[in-house]
Amino acid sequence: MQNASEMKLPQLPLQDAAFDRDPMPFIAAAREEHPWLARFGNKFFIHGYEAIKDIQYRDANLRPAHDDVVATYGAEGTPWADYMEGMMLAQWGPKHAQLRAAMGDTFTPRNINRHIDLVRGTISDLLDEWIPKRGFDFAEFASYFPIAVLCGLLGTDISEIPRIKHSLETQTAVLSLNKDLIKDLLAGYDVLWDFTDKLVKDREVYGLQDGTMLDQLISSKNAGQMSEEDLRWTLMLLFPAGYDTSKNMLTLAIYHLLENPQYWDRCAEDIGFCLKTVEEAFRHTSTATIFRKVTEDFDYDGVRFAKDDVLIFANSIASRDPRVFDDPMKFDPDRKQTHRHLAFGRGAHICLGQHLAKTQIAEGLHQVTQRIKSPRLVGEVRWRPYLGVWGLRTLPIEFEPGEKRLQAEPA
Amino acid sequence: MVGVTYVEADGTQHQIDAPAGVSLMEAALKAGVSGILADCGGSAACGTCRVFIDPAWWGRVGAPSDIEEAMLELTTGEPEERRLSCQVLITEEFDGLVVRMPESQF
Repeated sequence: MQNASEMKLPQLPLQDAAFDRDPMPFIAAAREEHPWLARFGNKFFIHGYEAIKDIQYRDANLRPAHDDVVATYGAEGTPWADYMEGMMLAQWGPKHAQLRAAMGDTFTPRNINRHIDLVRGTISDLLDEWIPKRGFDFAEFASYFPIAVLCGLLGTDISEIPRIKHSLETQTAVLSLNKDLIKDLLAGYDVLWDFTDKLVKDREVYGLQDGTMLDQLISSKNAGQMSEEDLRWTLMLLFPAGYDTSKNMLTLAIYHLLENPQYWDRCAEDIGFCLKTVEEAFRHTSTATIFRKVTEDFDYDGVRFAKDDVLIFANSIASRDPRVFDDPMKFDPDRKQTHRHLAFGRGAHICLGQHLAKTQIAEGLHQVTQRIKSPRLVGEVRWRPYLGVWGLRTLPIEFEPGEKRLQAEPA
Repeated sequence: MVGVTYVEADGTQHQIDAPAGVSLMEAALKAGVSGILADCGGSAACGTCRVFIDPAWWGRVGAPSDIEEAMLELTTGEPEERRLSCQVLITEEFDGLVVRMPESQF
């Protein structure tokens, strides 16, 4: 058994623009030195599919590493640090389970299915507004979709979003570990706290509406399942979480279809094929890199990780592992998915919004491919930082308008 | 110990002896039974540990809880007698239980 800290491992330039654009040459070179483990500074980077699948499952040995992220920014003792270390994503064990349980059935398939008309109506209205332009940056278009769905689920007014958009975008960039962001992160926290505080107070003054996510959360708070602070921090987490991840995945899915146009019309005709396309999109390239800190030494495949080691998991590219997936860089919605992708993570912290994500991305894809015809890329595709919420920063397209149709029953 | 048989979609059977008090999911994973993913580790959050309960045992195993029902809407076209295996604790009464796994958990 070798101590990870004593191993000679390749360093990966996770903050380098070349890595953002295409990590695979770096990963392939790193695999020559060790099959699944590399370094990023003093942290460990786990890139092998089986290693991520097995190690990320070890909730008893791992906890979120948000304190390490705060320390990287030198922001200890700030209200933003309290939020980063106190909110649900940063918790583990019974407190985390309690906060997750307070969500009730809001993110379950049943509740998402109940709100399918909201999802469909949101993308339809957005397309009504944008299609006449006959060309736009798809990444910008997509930025208005999942957040509008989330506002609908919460029962809040979408008109408030423009004033918090910059703060949302800053919060979702926090895991890029770009220290230039600190001023914006601290200012953004104040904006989001004021926004969510007003949201809660207004709803409590004017009365709870029936069946909205916000009411579920306020009811959970009133029942003692979370504090006033937990409630606002949970909302502050949901807004950026619902903003970036799904918009980036929808944009990536459209990018895959631009590169593989033989699938475009199949998505337009068949929502079931859209679900397969979304599953393959998650396999090929997803958005999340996950940070964990070791709470107790453990061994895996000849390597001993020690308490306080920080592990970074490459969930976004795990399912490109050629030892697990045949021809992994080929985008093929018809492939037999022999292994489940790891885009949503594993263990107790598995993505809360995964069922919503899959549904809204598939429904979005279905309508976009109906109403956008002969799409073509007309400018530069730029990538976001790999660390943080990865994906495309720009996807400029032009197209011919297609037909608006009545939507069929769900798949 | 309680005897439980897990049957994969292709008919492969796994007969195991499990202690009372653990979930059907835990017992399966520990015994290396294929066909249950349990990506969330047993917190009724992912729906990838679904099992079909043999109808003869449905009365003893019991119906799903409300949160299970909410998760089981993940898929359609499966038998009604199904549970999330992470939410079914094995009891001595289950000796001889047969459960089946779906062709795919995702």
